[in-house]
Amino acid sequence: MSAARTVVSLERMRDVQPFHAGCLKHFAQAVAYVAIGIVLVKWGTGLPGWQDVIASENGPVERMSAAIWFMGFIWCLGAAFSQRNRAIEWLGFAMFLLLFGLRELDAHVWATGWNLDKVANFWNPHYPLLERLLVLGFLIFPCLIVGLMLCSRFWKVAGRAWREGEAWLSHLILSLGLLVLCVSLDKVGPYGLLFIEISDSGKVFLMILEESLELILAVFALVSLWPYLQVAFLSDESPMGIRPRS
Amino acid sequence: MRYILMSWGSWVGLVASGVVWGLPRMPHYQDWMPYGYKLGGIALVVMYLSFGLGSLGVYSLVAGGMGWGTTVTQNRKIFRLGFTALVLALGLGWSYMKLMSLTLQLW
Repeated sequence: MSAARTVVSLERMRDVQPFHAGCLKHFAQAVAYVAIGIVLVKWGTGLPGWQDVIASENGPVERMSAAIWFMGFIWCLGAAFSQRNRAIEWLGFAMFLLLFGLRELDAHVWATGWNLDKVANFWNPHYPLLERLLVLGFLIFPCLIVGLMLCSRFWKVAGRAWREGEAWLSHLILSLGLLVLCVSLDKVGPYGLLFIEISDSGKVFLMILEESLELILAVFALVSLWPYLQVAFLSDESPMGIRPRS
Repeated sequence: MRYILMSWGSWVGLVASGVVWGLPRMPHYQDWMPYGYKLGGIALVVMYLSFGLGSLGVYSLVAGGMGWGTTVTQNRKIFRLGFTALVLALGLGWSYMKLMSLTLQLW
């Protein structure tokens, strides 16, 4: 099984939008959906300020982001079950969506007692060595292996996909760009830039921006996967037992 | 109707409204769950998984029931998948209740 087969067959089976237009259209849809959603949540929950809705810990926006990541995880598992010949790709996606969901809920902090995001913590003797080794062995290395496997599968077809304007590549590039932006804002927001002091209101603005972008990223990821999920659930690709409906 | 039910917006909206308005109204729900006690955090993750399974279950039942699949076999398969997902969602919901009541007893 190769990624080329997966991508080509999926692109042919769905009327996916052409390259840049489809990607930007989906991004615009995700932004509009999130904007309307946040306004509805503020109106529906009756929380006093925008900061309480968007930037509060375990607030509505954070809960929505986590829920959409977990929803993506479950749907990708279902797709892996339904489309067995592409199970490896679906399971790889599922694993990363689960990690994003757990990261949104700060599971890595409350489950271990220390922040796995900080690379320096892996050298910190304050935390038990056995725990750090367990995190490396059971979380970091498996993620690296799955990530490298997915990269190698998609790298083989990336050049052709770029030339032919296949939609999945532009969606993937935009998602990765958004992810980098969210991580950067997450690191900059609470602490400020290296040489620039950020005021309290500036930090709040950065937190609001970061949480909103995280929700947009979660929605955009699901929007990008949606045509492929539909194909996985609704098309029967098994060679045996096919009985046409009409 | 079919277009609305097949669009991502409906299902994302269903799950989002579930966690915004439904989750805080669940029995035993506490804002401090994950940070106060690890078991509460696990219960929260279980509940999020339950929401995901619930959405997949309802979608699959609707898709299988309305015959969106390319073949009859596929419609039956997706209907079975939906039924299984809903049973699992109910099971995880029950696990959430047990984990949270245990958390509150231990707290």
